[in-house]
Amino acid sequence: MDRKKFFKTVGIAGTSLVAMSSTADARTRIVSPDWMGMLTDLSLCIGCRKCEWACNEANKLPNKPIQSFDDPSVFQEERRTHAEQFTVVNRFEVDDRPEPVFVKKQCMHCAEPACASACLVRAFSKTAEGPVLYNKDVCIGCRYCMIACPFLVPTYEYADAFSPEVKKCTMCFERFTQQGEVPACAGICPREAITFGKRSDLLKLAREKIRSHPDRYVDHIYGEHEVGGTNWLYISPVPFEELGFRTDLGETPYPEMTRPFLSAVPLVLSIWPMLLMGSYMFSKKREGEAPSTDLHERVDS
Amino acid sequence: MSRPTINTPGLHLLGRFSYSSLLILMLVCPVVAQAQEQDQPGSSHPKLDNQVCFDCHQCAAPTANDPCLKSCLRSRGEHGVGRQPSAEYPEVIIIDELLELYKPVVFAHKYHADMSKMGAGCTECHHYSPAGNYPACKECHDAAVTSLDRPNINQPGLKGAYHQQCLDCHIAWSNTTGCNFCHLSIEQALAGKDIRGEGDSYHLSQPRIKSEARYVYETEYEDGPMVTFYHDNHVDMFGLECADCHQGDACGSCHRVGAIARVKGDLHEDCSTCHDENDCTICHRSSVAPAFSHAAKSGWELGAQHENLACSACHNTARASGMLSSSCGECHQSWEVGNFDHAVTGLALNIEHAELDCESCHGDPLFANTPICSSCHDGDVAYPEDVPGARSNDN
Ligand code: SF4
Ligand code: SF4
Repeated sequence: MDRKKFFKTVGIAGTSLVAMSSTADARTRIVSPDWMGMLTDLSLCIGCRKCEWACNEANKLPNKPIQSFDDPSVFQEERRTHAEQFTVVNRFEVDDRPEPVFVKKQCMHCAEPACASACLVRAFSKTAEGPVLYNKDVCIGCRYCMIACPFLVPTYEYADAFSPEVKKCTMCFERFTQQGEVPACAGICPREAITFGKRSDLLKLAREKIRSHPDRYVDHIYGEHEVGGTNWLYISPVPFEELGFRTDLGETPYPEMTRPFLSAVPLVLSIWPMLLMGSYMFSKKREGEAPSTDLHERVDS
Repeated sequence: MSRPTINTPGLHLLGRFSYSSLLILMLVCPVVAQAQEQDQPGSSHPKLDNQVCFDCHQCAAPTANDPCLKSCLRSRGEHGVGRQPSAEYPEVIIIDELLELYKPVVFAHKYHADMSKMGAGCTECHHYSPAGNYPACKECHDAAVTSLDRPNINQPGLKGAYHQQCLDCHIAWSNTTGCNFCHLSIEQALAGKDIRGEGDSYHLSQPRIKSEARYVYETEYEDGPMVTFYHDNHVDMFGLECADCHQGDACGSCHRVGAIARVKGDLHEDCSTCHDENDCTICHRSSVAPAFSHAAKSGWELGAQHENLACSACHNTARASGMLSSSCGECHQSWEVGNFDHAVTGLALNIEHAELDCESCHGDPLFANTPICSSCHDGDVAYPEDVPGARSNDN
């Protein structure tokens, strides 16, 4: 590519970025009644961490014998999800409550995922079924998704020097679409603290639980409105801010907020990944493989 | 792509109670409810006035003979109270519907049923059950928890139902979420531990209740500040049930090590169920009272034959102080030649004496005085120098 051509490409890319950001406000918010989701009832969770074990099994992540998950010493510090652990359970001691509250964390499967909108090559997509999925074949490793996610979920396989991927919970997409089974964590949870179902049904269930047991729950379904809604919902016996949940996120979908930020990123930074992707796709084509495109039907954004 | 669905009520309408069917029924119900009310104004359901018929019944015209009660009732207000007679409920239930990672749980149903008398009875666990009819958990809670075909996400599946119900209490007093509290792991089972085989194995690791044998209270009653309460006497000897004194307390108040359980209400009221309330000295002393002694209390020492009996074996009044005469025949009315093994007294009669009436030797009904030999024998024979048989060593 000669100098002249390079600047021409940059010019076109720059214009299209501006165009993209100006259409942002016209977007209509889509919350599909058919989306599947999960409801975690924190009043039921006992911190047994069987969901962590089952998640590792289902996703072929490094695992330990199930008995070792009974060890409560991991609760001494608050843990984060990482590339080898898509879900973690943390313990919170809450004032005036004799028993601690346990919180299972994983990807929230946002209705309008910040990770997806931050990704310049559309490696993340919101599926029609609800889960937000990652396509390793188009990822260029820029890790914008990690910065964009308000829940600090996607993580990079730093340990893998050759083909590192961004990793996170998939809501066991294959498992429920193809094997007819609920996600692994929901299946193993002894107390059924995690329920899998249509997001709209789960919201009804959550509301009914709160209505019929006002002594057991605070009147808040986390994820109903946060960041424009998420497919993973929570109900809790104590206010969410006491359990490490971010309650400062507002109800505006993150993509609407991150887009101006992204368009302000210096041109060379935003264009660099595109160029890389271009050369990546080019090289893939040369190898005779079609670059894999969208695996899943995409909710239009 | 075929979309996964969870709520497929149509499939279940015929076979089992589902929420959608309830909904449909409830739409129809007010009409029926009204008809019923007109037919039987103020009838046999005085406490259920906020409910509609189909909350409990599955047919439109329930009768006394065929009330067609739903087994998976989820009533909105009242639900069943009372208990089944103990003969009708199972003693032990092996829970082995869901076996993936752990061995079955041997659930000591009877122990729990007995303990539930300290609370709300069967409904403590069998919630939403119609009175007098307590279906097993699996009647209502679906075992297919991991399958997308699960009919109803609004109700816990069977695994969730077990763990929600059991752990609500067990966590509160055991402070453990370890699975092996109730289950044996497959490894343990393979290592040869069979939970069904070991004598009193129902309890597994559940600690037995350890109560102190004796509690001493210091009260403000000046004439007798010390009250000594022998818990073991009351339980082991007087045969009281836990629920006779303990009511409405959390499980942990008895099961947690070092816990002190409360009694039902006012101590005076509880104790005076058996003890005379007007006699303060029964409980209030100036020093620690000795444990119950039948000899000290009644002047009659319980021998080897009597000391292991429950009070109620002889005293049939709630107040054990209902005095008996010391005549053996008061209880042992049926003793006669042939049905009394004299060897239990330490003396096995020889054949000549075994056929005699008791009164031939024992002139008085107390059997305590020295037997008389002279009614048959000359003066040269006398007890205890001469014995009418052989002394046995075992007594
Ligand atoms: S939680 Fe983070 S990773 Fe998951 S969908 Fe939302 S933005 Fe993306
Ligand atoms: S398996 Fe269920 S109860 Fe156990 S830690 Fe996970 S969510 Fe909580």
